[in-house]
Amino acid sequence: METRLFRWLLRLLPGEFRDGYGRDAEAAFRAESRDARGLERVGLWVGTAIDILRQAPGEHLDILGRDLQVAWRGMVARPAHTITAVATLALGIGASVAMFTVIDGVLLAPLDYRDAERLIFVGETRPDGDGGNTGYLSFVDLKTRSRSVSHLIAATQSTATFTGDGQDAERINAMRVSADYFPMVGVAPVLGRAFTAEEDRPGAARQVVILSDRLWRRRFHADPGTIGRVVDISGRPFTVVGVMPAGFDDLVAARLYGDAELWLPLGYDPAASFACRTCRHLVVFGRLADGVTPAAAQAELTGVFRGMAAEHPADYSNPGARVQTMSELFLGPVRPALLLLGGGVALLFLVACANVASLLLLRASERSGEVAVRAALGVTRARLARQLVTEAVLLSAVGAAIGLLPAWAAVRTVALIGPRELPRLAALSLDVRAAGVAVLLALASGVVFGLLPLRQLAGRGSSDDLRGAGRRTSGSGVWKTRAVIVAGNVAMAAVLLAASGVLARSITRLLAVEPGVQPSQVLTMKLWAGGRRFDDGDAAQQVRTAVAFYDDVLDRVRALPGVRDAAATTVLPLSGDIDGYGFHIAGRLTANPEDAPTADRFVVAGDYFSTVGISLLRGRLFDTRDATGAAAVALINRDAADTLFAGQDPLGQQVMLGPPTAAPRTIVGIVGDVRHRGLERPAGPQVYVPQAQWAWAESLMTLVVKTDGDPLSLADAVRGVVRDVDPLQPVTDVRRYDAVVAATTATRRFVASALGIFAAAALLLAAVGLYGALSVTVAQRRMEIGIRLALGARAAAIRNMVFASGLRPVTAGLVIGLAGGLLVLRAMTSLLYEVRPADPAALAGAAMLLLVTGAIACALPAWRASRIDAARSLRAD
Amino acid sequence: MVRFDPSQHLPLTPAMFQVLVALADGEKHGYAVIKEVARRTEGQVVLRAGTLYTVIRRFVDDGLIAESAVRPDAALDDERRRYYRLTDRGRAVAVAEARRMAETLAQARVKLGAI
Repeated sequence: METRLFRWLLRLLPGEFRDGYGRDAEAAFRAESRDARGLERVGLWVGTAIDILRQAPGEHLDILGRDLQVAWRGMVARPAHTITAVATLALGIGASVAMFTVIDGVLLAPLDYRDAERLIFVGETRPDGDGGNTGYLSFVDLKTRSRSVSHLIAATQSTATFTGDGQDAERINAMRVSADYFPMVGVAPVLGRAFTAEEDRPGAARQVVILSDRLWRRRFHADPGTIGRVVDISGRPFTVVGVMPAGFDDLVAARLYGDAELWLPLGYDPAASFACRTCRHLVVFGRLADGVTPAAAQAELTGVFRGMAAEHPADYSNPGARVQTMSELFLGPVRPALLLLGGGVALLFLVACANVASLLLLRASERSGEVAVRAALGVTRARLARQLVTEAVLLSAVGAAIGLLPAWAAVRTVALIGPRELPRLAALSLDVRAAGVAVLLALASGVVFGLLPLRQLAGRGSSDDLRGAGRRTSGSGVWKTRAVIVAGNVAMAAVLLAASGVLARSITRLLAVEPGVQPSQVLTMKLWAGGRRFDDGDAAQQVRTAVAFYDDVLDRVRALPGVRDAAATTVLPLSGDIDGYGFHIAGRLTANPEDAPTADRFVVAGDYFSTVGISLLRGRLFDTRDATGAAAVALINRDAADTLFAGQDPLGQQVMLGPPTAAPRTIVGIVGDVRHRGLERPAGPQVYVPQAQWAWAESLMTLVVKTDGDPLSLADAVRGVVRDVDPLQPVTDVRRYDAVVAATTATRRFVASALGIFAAAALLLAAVGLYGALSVTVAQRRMEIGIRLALGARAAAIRNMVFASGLRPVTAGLVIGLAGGLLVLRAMTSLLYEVRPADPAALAGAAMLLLVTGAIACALPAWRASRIDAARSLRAD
Repeated sequence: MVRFDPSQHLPLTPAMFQVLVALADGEKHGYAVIKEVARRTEGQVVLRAGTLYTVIRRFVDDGLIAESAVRPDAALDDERRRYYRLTDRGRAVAVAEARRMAETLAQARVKLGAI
């Protein structure tokens, strides 16, 4: 009994120790125990148990230290082997860590809000599309009638110009939000307070604002006394009531309107014209009530919308609600792309692992003699496993440590130049979690790599091995294992090549799409017209003021050297902004105005069409005849002409934009289609109106300036012109138009490039693996080859034999990989444009590339095999 | 060949030192070492099996002690027991440690007065 307990205690010590000293220690303990009496015996037991517990960790560490020393010496002694394995692991682990950081930071990290999973977006659905935005009166009804959502809020974009505090005028992106906004997201101001319900009413006693931490620091030098201060915003007094915490990431603002630095109460008057049910410009968010699922909320809110439609049939057309969680709304669109890349990097990691496994198997076969000697000396299988795992883990750890450097660089690069469509990109950085992933990958791969050769080495110790008989006449068994690894590598590389090939074809097609505008050498910038002077007088007066302002700016910009033309538009095509209006044709009004089609509306000034390169197809463009007060006119695009006029000639027909009661305007021309909503989407109906003839003054226009040279070189000059005309009107979003258009395909290009890099790396690794495996096999079979040659085999036959044996696993892997690639491609259809997943050209290209690479990798070993000197190889063995 | 430097093994833990000293006058098996140390230190140093054999393992690996082929009469022998003897290196290390402790003691006497 006592002996058994002691043996059990000894199990805490390393197996190597037990093998060497276990029986001896047991004998000593038995003798001690025999001589001890009564309490002395109890003391012996307790003391021995504590003693072994104290000694065990040190013994394990000591053996680990020695194993590490042996492993390190082995690594240093074989630099080529070590560098290849470490570089391969660094590539695999580095790429995995970088991709994990991107997926973790963008997709997995929780949103910065309290109980973020309960936050929902409520979209108003319409028959002609998913709609999304809601009118103010609809929002009020939703708020009062819904039971499934608490803190229902509405928000919209706004801007504010800071003036009057002695600093430069500054235009700031702002959000108008209902009072419940901050309680809804669950983040309170760090200074001051959130809005009260009273402040969110029309005609509130005083106008209030909440500042972002960044704005508070920049404009108010982080002065706590800012709370309560009255500031001049767009010419009106506002009291600062709160400052949001640093790092408060207003995703609603960031995703919908660009980063907001200031929040104002919504404060809508229900009687205002812009508060109508069809004035769908508000985004609605809320927090699910306890125990309510998004689906249940969607069902309830759809019922509420139907109730509203029954009460106001002219304002709705078969409406419903679409409820999405906030993370689904913001992260859902990028999830397929990122998961695809995650899958891609996982394949690359597997290829890297397979290569290292192959290298270690090779090393193991070289070490069979050494292992046999050790086995003969009594080294146990467990001890051998421990040594092999230590060696492999050390190799992986060095690979992981080195891999962190390129991973860091890759993450920084993605954070800086990655597509803006990926949210939360700028905040990406390698952190403890990423390091944890590196450690896990290193440990896991190390244990697997370490144990893999064990089977091959187990049972060594035969007299053959002791004689150093690594040289066998046939290496076919070992080659089979290597061939399976090669086939696996090729299969994974084929999946990556097929996927990236099809994606590349898709991108090529997308980039070849004619956008309908010519964005090269065009400078764009947003220019606001705000402040008291633009608010004076009635609507007509305000239009005249705004038109005069923009005309003045455009005239002066045109006079700048290097400027060919200049114009302005309310919405820049392909910028992501959408401005849909009801399109009513006089004489063909729909019974329910909400059933009328929608057209994208562009209010333009100057020579807009020639500046951005939209062609006139029929009729005429706008000119000086189309001034304020003259007969109202409009232009439509080809799509509107083809689809909305049922075979009639649109020229001369009258249309009303917005409600059917709007002033009719005559169609005077038809222009080319612009792929305004994205290169991959059809143009849809579009309508253009001269700025001077719109019903109200547009306070936000985008300047488009056609230049002779680099557009950005003129940015400062154009800014100077605006400053000269009105120093209170800052410009924002200064960009080259071609960059704006390129940004619409940025995510696709990012995914295709990243996948292309993974595919190229996998192809290279697969080729190196194939070359290495075949070379070693040829070396090990040189005696067999020597015999064949001695028996009269021709060198060409030997060459072909080796070449074919190398290409067999390549072909097998290719077939498996292409089949797998097809499955992957089917799952990524949403990322493809006018390319079928089974695109023959891309798949054939991937296959050709792999076969050619495989053939190159096989050629040298095959040639070497044919050059073996039969006599020498036979003598050597 | 690199000259053996006993100081590289210093300082020794009390248990290590006692094991070397116990083997100084001839080979012993593990239990004999435990008993010898207890007797000589009048019970002040108590070696347990775990400590003893981890020390023995390290000393064998470092060449300070070695397993002895000399065994007592078969009648008195337990075949499971292994006997250990001090090597020349082990003796040199024990002497170096004793000197080190003597010097330490001498310095302490100078600073602290009579001990």
